[in-house]
Amino acid sequence: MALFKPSSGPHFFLCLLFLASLSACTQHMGFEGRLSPFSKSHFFPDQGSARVPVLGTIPQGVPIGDSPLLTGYENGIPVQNIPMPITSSLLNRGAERYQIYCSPCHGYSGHGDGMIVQRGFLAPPSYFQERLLNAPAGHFFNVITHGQGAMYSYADRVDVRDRWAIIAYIRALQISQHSLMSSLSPEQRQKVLESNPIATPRADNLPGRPE
Amino acid sequence: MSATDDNPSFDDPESRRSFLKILGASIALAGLDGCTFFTGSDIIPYVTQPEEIIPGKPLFYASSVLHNGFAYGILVETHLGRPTKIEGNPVHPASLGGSSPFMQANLLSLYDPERGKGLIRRGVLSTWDDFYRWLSGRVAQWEKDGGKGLCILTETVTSPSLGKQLLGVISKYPKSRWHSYQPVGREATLQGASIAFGKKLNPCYRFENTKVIFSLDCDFLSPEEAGHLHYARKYSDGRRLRANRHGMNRLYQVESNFSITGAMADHRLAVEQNRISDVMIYLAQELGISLRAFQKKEPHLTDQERFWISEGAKDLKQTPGESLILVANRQPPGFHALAYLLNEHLNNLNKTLYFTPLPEFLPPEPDSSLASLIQDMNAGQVETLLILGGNPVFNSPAELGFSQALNRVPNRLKSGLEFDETAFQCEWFLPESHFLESWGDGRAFDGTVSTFQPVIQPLYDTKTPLEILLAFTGNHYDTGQVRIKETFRELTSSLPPLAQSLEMRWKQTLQEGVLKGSAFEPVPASVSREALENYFSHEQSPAHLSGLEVSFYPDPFIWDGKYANNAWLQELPKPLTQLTWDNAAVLSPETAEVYQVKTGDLVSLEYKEGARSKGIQIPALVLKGHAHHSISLYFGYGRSVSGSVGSKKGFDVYPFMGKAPEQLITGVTLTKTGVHYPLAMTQIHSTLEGTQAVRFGTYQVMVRNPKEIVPFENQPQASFFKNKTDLDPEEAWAMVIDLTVCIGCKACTVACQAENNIPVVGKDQVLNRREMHWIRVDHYFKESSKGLKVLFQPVPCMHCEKAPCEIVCPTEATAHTPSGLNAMVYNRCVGTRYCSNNCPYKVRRFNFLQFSDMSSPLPRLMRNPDVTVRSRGVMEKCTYCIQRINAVKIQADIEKRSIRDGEVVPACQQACPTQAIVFGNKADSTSQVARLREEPLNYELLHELSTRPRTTYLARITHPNPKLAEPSESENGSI
Repeated sequence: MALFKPSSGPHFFLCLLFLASLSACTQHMGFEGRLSPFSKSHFFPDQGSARVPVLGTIPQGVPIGDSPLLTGYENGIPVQNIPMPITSSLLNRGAERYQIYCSPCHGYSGHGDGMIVQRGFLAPPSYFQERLLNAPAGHFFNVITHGQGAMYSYADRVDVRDRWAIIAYIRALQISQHSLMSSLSPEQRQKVLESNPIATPRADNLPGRPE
Repeated sequence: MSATDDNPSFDDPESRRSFLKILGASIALAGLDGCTFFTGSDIIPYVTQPEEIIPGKPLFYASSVLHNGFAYGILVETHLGRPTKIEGNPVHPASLGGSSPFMQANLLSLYDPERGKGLIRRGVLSTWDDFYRWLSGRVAQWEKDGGKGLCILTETVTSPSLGKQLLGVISKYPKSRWHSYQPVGREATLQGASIAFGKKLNPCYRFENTKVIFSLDCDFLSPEEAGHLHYARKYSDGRRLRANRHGMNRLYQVESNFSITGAMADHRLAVEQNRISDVMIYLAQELGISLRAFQKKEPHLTDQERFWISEGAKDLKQTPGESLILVANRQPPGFHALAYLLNEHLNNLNKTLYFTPLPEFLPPEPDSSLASLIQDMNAGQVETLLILGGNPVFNSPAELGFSQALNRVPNRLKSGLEFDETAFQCEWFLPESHFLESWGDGRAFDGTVSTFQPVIQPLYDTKTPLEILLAFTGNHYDTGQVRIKETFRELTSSLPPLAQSLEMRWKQTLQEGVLKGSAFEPVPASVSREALENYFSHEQSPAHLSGLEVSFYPDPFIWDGKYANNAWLQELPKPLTQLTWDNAAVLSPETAEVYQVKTGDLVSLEYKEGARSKGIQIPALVLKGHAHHSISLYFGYGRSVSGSVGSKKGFDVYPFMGKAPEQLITGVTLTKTGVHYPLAMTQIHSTLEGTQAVRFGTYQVMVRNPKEIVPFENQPQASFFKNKTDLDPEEAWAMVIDLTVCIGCKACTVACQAENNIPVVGKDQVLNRREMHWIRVDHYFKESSKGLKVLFQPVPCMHCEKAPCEIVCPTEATAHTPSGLNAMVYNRCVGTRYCSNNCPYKVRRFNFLQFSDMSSPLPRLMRNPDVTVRSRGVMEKCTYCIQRINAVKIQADIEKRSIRDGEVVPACQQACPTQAIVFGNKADSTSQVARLREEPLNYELLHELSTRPRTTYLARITHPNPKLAEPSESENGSI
C-alpha cells in the first residue's frame, strides 16, 4: 500500500513551493490579530492597548492587609524597624536588588553619586545625611513605593518583600559608612585599613571617603 | 509496496527537508522571497505602571456573572488590563471552578462591536446629561404625585444593591409599581413551595448524599437550574469510578425532550409532556401516597411504563434519606408540592433536599406578572415604563400582546447591553455596561453573596442598571461602587463579626469574589399534606386535545435570545442534535415516520386557540429518544433587531406560544410544506455501526470483570510507523477523559475557542464541514430493547506517539516535541491538508478562508496574546494548550524546581464542570494522569490502529437497576 510515493515528490513539491512563495504576501502570519505587550491599539483614544486597572479593584495573588509589612506604616506613622526578620539571605537579596534598581542613581555605596548622576542627572541625597540616618525604615519603604522628588515609584518592579530587603541593605550601607572606628575591634580596624589603604582615620574617627 | 519501520523512503535525508532547503535557497536568490513587510511598531507603555501588572503575565480577578438572574463566580484573566478569558471561581459554590458555555462566551459579548455604545433617543444619539435633564422633570413630578404611572420591569433580581434600590424607588414613590418577567422563570417551583409550606422557599439539592435520583423532566445539569454547575459536580462525584472506589448513584429520568440530564440517566423514560403528571401520580401511589383527588384517577400509562416506575419507586424506598425526587420548573405548582411531600415521605426533606430563603427579590405587589403589567398598560395607567434589562417585546409570548401595549405608554425607556427589539420601540435606549466593566453584586442559587468588580474601564459611555436606577430617585452622582460597598457593610453586619476591619473584609471579599458565610442557612421545612389535598381538590387538570403536543425550551446556548449576537454560542453544536446557527422542531423518528418528515423538512405547525389559529413554519429535526406525538421547540431564535450575527437567524417561536413559555400546547397539526431548509449540524451520523469507538458497560459488569468492557491490554502493538527515539523520559504530556462523568455540556469546546483564538466560520461553512473547534463532543446512540443509551465522547487531538499526520506532511509543519506533543509549526504549513486526510480521528482543522479577523481593533483586544492567530491556508488543531505548559515551565525554571502534578491545566480541563478531563505528565508515575491510565477502564480511541494516542478515555459506566436492564446484564462494549 503506497501512502506516499517518493518518486512523485520533487515535481509536486516544486510546484507547490513555487505557488506558496508567490502567495506568501496574502498569508499575514507576520501581522497577527493579537496584541503584543504595550503595542498600539486604534480602539482607544490614547492608542495604548495596555489599560489601567479600575481604581479599587483587587486582583488575585496580591497581598492585602494593613500590616506594617505591606504599608510601611503602623498606627499612621512610618514603622521604625524593618517588620520582617533580617537574615543574611535577605541582605544578599537586598544587595542584588539594590545594585539593579538603586545603584544607577544612589551609587553602589549610597552616596548619591551613581552613574546617571555622574552624567548630569539630579543627585539624590546621600544615605549618610543626618536626616536619613535617623529616618524610620517606613520612610524608605514609602519612597520606594510612591517615589519622591525626581525619583518615581518603583512599586511595579520591586515587590514588597524586596523593598524591605533593599531597606535592610541600605541600613547595612549606613552602618558601613557611619561606624566609629573606635567601635571596631583592633582586627576589624586592621582589616578596614588593609582593604582600603587610602582611607585614613579622620578627626571624628569616622572612616573617610576615598578622594 | 509496503512501508514499514525500516523502509528508507521515509527518512532518507536527501528526500525531504534538505531538498526543500536547497529549493528555498534558490528561490531566495531569485528574489521571489522578499515579501516581508515589517514596518516596526510603536510601544505605548503606561505612564505609571500599576504595581500588580507584569507585562506578558496574566493577572486574574475574581468577579461574578449573572445567568438567568443568579450569580456564578468567575475568575477573569487579564493581560495588561484587558480581559481575555473567563474561568470558573473554585471557591464559589455555584461554579466550583467549572464553567458553563455562557460564562465562557460572555467575553465575546464585551468586545461585541455591535453593543449599545451610546444613548439613543428616538433614533438619535443623545447623552447622559440630556437624559438626566429629561428625568429631573419627571422626578420632580413623581415626588409630588407619589410616582403615579411609573412602572419598572426587570428580570429576576438577586443583587442585594439593586433589590434594595428597587424597593427604595417603590417606597419613595408609593404609587409606582415593579414587575418582573423573564421567559425562563421558576414561578411554579416557588408556588409549589408556597402550597406545601405556606411560603415561598428556595429548594436546593445535595447530590453528594444521594444514591437514587428520580427526576421528572428536571434538567438539573443544564443552566435552567441556577445551581447546575454545583449539581453537575456533586452528581458526577457520586459516579466517578476508580479502582479503589465503589458505589455509584442511580438516576431515573422521565422527560419528553432529550436533555443532557436524560443522556446521563441510567434509566430514561420518554413520555409526552401531558403524561408526566400521570407518571408523578403513579409514582406517588407506588410510594404509598394517595391524595384524595387522585384516588379515582387512572394514570394513562402502559404496563411497561408502570413496571418502570414501580421499580424506580422500590429503589427510592430502599434508600430513605438518600434519595431525591425532582420536578422541572415548567411542571405545574401542585406537582412541585407533591414532590416535596414524596421527598418528606422518603425522609429526604432537610437532607438531600433542603430549603433556604429566596435569593431573588420579589416585587412587593401580589401580582407582579407581565400579564398584569400589560393589563395596566392597555388601561392607560402606565405613563412611564422603565424596562431595566430584558427584551420583552421579543421574548414574551406574542399572545400577551406586550408590543402593542407598549405603544400605549407615553414614556418608554429601555436599558440593555444591545439595541434590541424592545429598544427599537422605546423612546430612550440607555446602554448598560457589561458585567466585566461593572461594580455589582448578586446572590447564587444558595444565597451566597458574590461580588462583581470591573476588570476594565467601560469601553463606551455606559452605566450599570444600579446607576441608572439611582437616577430615578434623583441621585445621578453616586457611583455603583459606593452603593455596592454600602450594601456590603449592611450585609456583613448580619454575619458573625471577624477580627479584621471592615475595609480588610471588603478587600478580601473582592479578591475572593465571595462573601464568606453569606450562603443562607437551611430553613427547616415540613409539608402540609392538608394544604396539598385542598389544592388538588380545587385544581382542574387541563384538558389535552388530541393531536401533537408542543412544549417549549430555551435554546441551550442562545438562551431566550439574549446571546443571539454571540457567534461562539451560535456556532456551538447543541447537545444531542449538534445543530448550529438555527433552531428546529425536534421530534421522534416514529412521529416523523407518521408524518413522513425528515430532518431539514420545513414543516408547518398549527393549532386553534379559541376561534383563532396560530401557526409557525420551522424545520423538523428527528432525534432518537424523543417522546412520540410530542414536539419540542426551542425559543430564542428569530431575532429581528440584533447585531449582524444574531439577526434573522432561525425561527421565532414566541408567537406560537400560549400565555407563558412553560405552557404546553396540545392539539397541534403538522403539515409538510415540501420545502427543504438546510440545517448545519456538525455530526449527522450518531450510531456506532458495530465499531468499538466508544467503550461502555455497566457498574455490575465492571465489578465482575472490567476486562469485559475494555478487553484488550494497552500494550504497544506492531505499528506501521517507526518508533520515536527522541522522546523525553521525564516529561510526557497526556490526557485522560472520563466518559462516565462527561455530561456533554460543551463548556470545553467554547473554553478552547476562547483560549486558543479559534475563529467562527458561519452557517454556510459549517454546512461545508469546515467548523474549527479543536475539541468536539461527539455523541452516539446505542439502542437496546430496554431503552436508548447516549454516549458522549469529547475528541481533542490525540497527540499520537505514532502520529499518522506527521509522516505525510511534506514540509514538516507538524512534528513531535520531545515531551510528546504533536505540534503545529504554522509558518511551515503550506496547506496541503494531507495531515487532515491521514488523521483517523479527524481533529485537524483547516483555514479554508481567512476566518480570523486580523485587522479590526476589538477582536485584537480580546484575543489571547499567547496564542498565534492563524491565517488562511494554515492547518490547526489542539495543542494541549502549549502556551499554558510553557508558562508553567518558565515559572518552574525560575523557581528551580520541576513542574508539579496538576500545575498545567488546559482550557478544556479548567472549564469542565464535572472534572471529566485530567491532564498531566504520564512519565511521573505518581501523577493523576499516570494513575488514571493504569485504570482497568482506560482505553485508546481506535486502539486497533496502534497510533499510541496520549489522549485516552475511561469507559462510560452506567449503573442500571438489574430489574430494568438487559436480562443478560452484559451490556458491555462489544455490540
